Order: sequence, then structure tokens, then C-alpha cells
Amino acid sequence: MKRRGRTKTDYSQDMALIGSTQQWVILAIFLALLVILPHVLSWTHNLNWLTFINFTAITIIAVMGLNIITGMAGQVSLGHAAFIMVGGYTLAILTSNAHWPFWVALIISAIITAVIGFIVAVPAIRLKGFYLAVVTLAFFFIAQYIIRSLGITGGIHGIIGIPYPVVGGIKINTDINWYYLLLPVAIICIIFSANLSRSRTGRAFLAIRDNATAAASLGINVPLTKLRAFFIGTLFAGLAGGLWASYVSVVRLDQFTIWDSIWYLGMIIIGGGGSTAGVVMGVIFLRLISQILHVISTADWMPYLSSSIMVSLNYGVYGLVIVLFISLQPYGLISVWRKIKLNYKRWPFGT
Amino acid sequence: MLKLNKIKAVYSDVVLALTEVSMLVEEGSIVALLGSNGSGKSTTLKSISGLLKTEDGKLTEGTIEFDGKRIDKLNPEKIAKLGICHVLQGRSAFQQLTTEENLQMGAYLRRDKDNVKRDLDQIYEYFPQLATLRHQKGGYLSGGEQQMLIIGRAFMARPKTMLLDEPSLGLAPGIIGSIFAILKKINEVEKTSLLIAEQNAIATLNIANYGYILQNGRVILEGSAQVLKNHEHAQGIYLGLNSVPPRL
Repeated sequence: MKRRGRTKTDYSQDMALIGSTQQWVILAIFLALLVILPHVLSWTHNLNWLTFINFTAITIIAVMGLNIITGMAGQVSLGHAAFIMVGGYTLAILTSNAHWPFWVALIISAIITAVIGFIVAVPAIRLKGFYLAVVTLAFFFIAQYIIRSLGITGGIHGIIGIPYPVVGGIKINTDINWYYLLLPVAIICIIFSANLSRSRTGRAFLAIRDNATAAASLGINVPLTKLRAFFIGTLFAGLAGGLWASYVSVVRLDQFTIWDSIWYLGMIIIGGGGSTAGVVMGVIFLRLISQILHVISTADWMPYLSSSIMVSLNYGVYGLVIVLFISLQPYGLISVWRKIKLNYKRWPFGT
Repeated sequence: MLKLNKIKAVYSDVVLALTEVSMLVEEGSIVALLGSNGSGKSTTLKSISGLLKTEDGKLTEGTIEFDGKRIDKLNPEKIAKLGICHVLQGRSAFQQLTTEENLQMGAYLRRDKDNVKRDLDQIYEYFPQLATLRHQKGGYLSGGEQQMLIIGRAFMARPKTMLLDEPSLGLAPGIIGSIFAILKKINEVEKTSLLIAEQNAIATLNIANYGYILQNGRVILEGSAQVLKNHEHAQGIYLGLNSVPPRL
């Protein structure tokens, strides 16, 4: 019997991110589609979808960071929105007050966020599960308080008029330009994250998540590994925060809420924790549902309802979809995808 | 050579688990650590590997030396680096990693990639069953396969001494036999010293050179495997070899 699909026959194949020529071709076509996407949207007068896509790209970067901390290393963090906020404010201060060039400011704000993430993690990693979640939650409120109290962050008014980045002489001030800036950054982050889970460090994350005692018995320094996870994860958060601040050209406290932290966790759960591809799917899936609900509720043919009813209805349907999805597919979108692949390989023999 | 010198172990500062336990594991030997549930076998192994500290326990008296160096104050990862690998009780495979990834984790501290690859093949030779399960997630392996996997994982670390906590736990008699045979082989071929904590006294003493019997956190009997097997007292109460219930 000739096997369908791709069967790995040695370890180097297992380690390769992209295995066969076929996969390269599919990937190339997919990338080409992504590149022409904004033009398609502008021909069809659907440019507001591009705003949605740009925000989704930023969210993917942010949630991949949380996935490294929570999905890979198993450390539940409810403070992720706070790290994004730190990244956003740092970039805002560096570009609009100190007039640093965009890329330098972006990288420095990601590193500063990661250093803060590391410092917060030093006491926090002594705790596990719920207790760790509560400590990171506390960090969220402390960070919010500090930013509200400081003068340099503009207090409750935030910082407005963050200059648009200029890349290669082109001012990035339209959604299309932003799309071409965010797309490569997001792809680099996705490749980094996918590679991480195959590296020595990434395997150590998975090992301490699955069985910290066994990991320690094999010579893995468990506390240090957790700190590394927080450092890398918050580096992504800082990057996403910087991009976000620059994209909307304003940072305010109410942009970064505790609900965002919780939704990020939800996206990981829906996508399938630990898997980079799963996280990308989870973010797109949840954001797409909320966007579709938004489009429907504001459509012309909808009977007029007061906005408070509309908002509650949106949340209600959103919640219902998530509850249904999790109860039917508890291992997330990635497991659905894996089942489809396995069924294809084994067809027509079933299990 | 591993040497325990009158150690006393306490959990949460109040629960006494071991008193005056002294033990010697000579290089290249197999030592059995026997005793009923709660006698302190696991605690002894955890004291050696440093994992006691991660479970709110500590050594309050005594010393542990490995190759002439005191290790009782070191963290688990440092002790692992010195060449002691603790094979934990039960199904401690990394559930979400594949068999091969689990084995690779065993070689976490090693930098000699070529030898790691050779050792991997060696494991698949010792446990042919694992070779067929290469890409299967650890969590989907049966109890016996997981036990083989974690022994193989420990082997990948190339330790000088392996501490095994009840390798026969929950396994069918036939599988227990083959696992002990492989342990004996690893000991003979690789000259790895083994300290095996077990309930299954007969299987363990059959491959061991020396044995200790623990009761309530104390060593109450020690001797060569042959002596222990024939010791009347030991036979009756701790090893369950007598068909007649022992007089108490």
C-alpha cells in the first residue's frame, strides 16, 4: 500500500520546519496571496478589513509571546496585557519625547519590556498555577497604577501623536503601508516561535510544563528555564505593544485592559496550547468571530436595537460560540487540523 | 562511588522520613533498596538526587558524597550534571513530547551530538518496542512502554549512577522480567551503577550485588544479595518469600 501524505523516515525530517517540495510550493502560493491581499481588498472597497488584519497581526505577535510562557512552559500569566502596555508606552516615550528612530525604539522597547518581565518573574515563578496567575494579575494593576501616576506617561490622558514610522523613505501612515510592515514582522515572529519549540531551550520549556520534577532530574535548571520563558514571552509582548502604539499613534490606559489578558489566554486555549500554528489559528478564529458579529450587528438590514442591547448580544453570541467550541473540541483548533491530516493519510482505512 | 553517611531527612520541618541511613553504592554495582510502603525508599533516592528540596523536604543531619565530593547541598540540576540520574516513580514521561523527543531530553546536558545519536540507536536496540513508537506522544504509551522510555531517557544522560524508583510499578510479570534484564545489561555493558528501590524483592535481588532493607526510615538489615535472599527474618517479613505467614 502506498502511503498518502508525508511519512517521516528520519530525525532530520522531523526537525525540518518545512519538509517537502510540495509544502514549499503551497507556502509560496500562500505568501503570494498574502502579498497581493491589500490590493484585492482595495479593488473591492473593503479596506476596513485591512485594519482588522493589521490588528490581528499585532495580536498574533502578542499571543505568541503568551503562548511561550503559558502554552509551552506552562506558567499561567494574566499580566500579558500589562507587558504589551509597557512596550507601547516605552515606544511612545522613545519616539515622541526622545525622537528616536522607529526601529531602534521598537527593539529597545521590546528589550525593556522583557527585562521587566524577567524581574517580575523572579519572585513570581516560586508559585504555580492559580497562585502565579494571581501574582501576574497583581502586576497588571501595579503597572497600570504606576503608568497613571507618572508624568512622563501622560497620566490618564496617555500619549498622543506618536509619529508614524518612516521606513526606507516611505512614511508608514496608511493601512496598506502598515500591512507591508506588519506582515514580515509577524512572519519572522512565527518562524522564531515555531523554531523555538524544536530547540534545546524550547524542549526544556515543554519538559518543565509536562513534568518539572523529571526535568530537574535530567539536569534542567527549572527556575532559570521559567525565567527564560518569561523573558522571551514578554519580549514578544513588548514588540507587539510597540507596534500597536505606533499603529494607532496613541497610547492610553484604557487600551490595555485585564479583559485583553483573559482573551489572550482564551485564544491559546481555542487554538491549542503550546503550538505556534494553533495560536495563529486561535487568534484569527476568535477575532474573526467578533468581527463578523460586529459586521452583522451594524448591517443595514438589521432591525434597529439600542447599542447597549447590541453590545450585550454580541458578547452573548461570542461567549456561546466559545463555550460550544471548547466543549466539542477541547484540544483546540490544532487538534482538528491534526485529525484531518491523519485521516487523510490513513484513508480509506479509518483508524 | 556514592556514600550516604547517617542522613536524616525531614519534610515540612516536622515529618521525619529518614534517620541515620547510611549506604554505599560502589562503582559498577547494583544495589537493592527494599522495604514496604512508607519505609523511606523514595525519600532516600530524592535525598541523593536533590529532588527532596523541591518537595519541601531537607536533610537535617548527615552527608552524601559522590566520588569524594559532597553533594547534599547541591541543587538537582547540579547533581544531574555530576552524573547521577534519578528515574522517577510512575509514568514520568513528558506526555506531550514524542518518544524520540523524550529520549533527546535525556541528553539535555550533553554537547556531543554524534554520540547522542549513537546512544539513541543503542536505546532502540535495547528496547525495540520504542523504535516503533518513535513519533508517538509519550502520553499515549502504555505503562510498560513509558517505563522503558524513562529508563532509556535516563540512559541518554550517560550517568555514572542511576537511581531507579520502583521500575516494576504496575507492570505485568513478563515485562518486569525484561526490564530487569535490560537494567542488568546496562550495568554490565556500560558499567553504570544502579540503586534500585523496589517492592519486588526477588526480581531485584536476582540482579543485585548488595541490598538494604528499610523500615520506618531506618536501615534494619543489609548484606549481599545472596545473604538477604536466604535470611530467614528478611524472607518472612520483608520479602514475602515464605508461604507460611511469619510469626510477629
